[in-house]
Amino acid sequence: MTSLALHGVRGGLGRSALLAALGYALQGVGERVLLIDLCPSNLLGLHFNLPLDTQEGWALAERQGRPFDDAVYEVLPGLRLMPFGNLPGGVPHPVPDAQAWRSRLADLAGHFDWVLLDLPQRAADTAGHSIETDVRVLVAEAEMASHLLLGREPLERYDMLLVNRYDPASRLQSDVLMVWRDLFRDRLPIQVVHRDEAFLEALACKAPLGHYAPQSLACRDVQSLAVRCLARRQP
Amino acid sequence: MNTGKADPADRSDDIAQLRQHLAMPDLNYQDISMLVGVQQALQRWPLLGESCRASTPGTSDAAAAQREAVTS
Repeated sequence: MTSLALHGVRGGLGRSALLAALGYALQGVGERVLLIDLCPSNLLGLHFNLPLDTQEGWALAERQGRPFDDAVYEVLPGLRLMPFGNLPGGVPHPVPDAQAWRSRLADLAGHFDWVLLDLPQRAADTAGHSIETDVRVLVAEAEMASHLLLGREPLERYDMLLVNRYDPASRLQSDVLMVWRDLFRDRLPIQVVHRDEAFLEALACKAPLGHYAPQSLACRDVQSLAVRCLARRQP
Repeated sequence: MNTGKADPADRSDDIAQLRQHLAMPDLNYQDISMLVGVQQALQRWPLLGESCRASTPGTSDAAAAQREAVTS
């Protein structure tokens, strides 16, 4: 089993939609995939047609003293999803416990080829950030806030830089991407996913990108990402 | 839609093939157009230029020196 997480240099980078699309792409090539939503916003399941009022999830099960994997949905053959769950109002959201998740991931190892974690955007030095995965992808957009925040990241901790929502018609974006290719040459492979309305429309239709718009440019980008991930598959 | 032609990363394969064809694995290749492009980008966007001068990882220092040499 290979575990993978997308880390954002900042919030609002579309990581949940990317993760849903990546999970779908890996399932499409025959991999057994589990997607785990670690974000209290509990949105990941909506990319796979779970009802909006779905309450179940690992955090709710944990709070009620049930096994964390009580609520796993098989959303497609070979593709399962564990939502965060909907906690009662006023209940503080638990920060995912890195040590507990390490042991849980070890338990899941025999059942899946991939476990993809949708991490919450971290506050600095939170425990949620320290959940270790085999593959760590850093997500950014080719703009200045991402550029400045990238400069504060320990790049050696990541396997890949994913530039999301890239618009080649933007002078600024193409310049920033060119500078990154120069700066990170030989240090961090770069994967581009183009800006595509299909990402937004896919969520509106409660489907992952590859299901909603299989011919879109962004979908082909995500398939390239999946191929790069497969090259890092653990034995 | 083919967006790959303008992508400098795609050209690295060409260089790898050239190295193989010439049996010169250590061939030192400088992508002049990219170096000039980076220099122009740093001038076009002041914050980008300022940040690249401020953050001084070793490789970018070397790259900046190369860029100055190319454009001077």
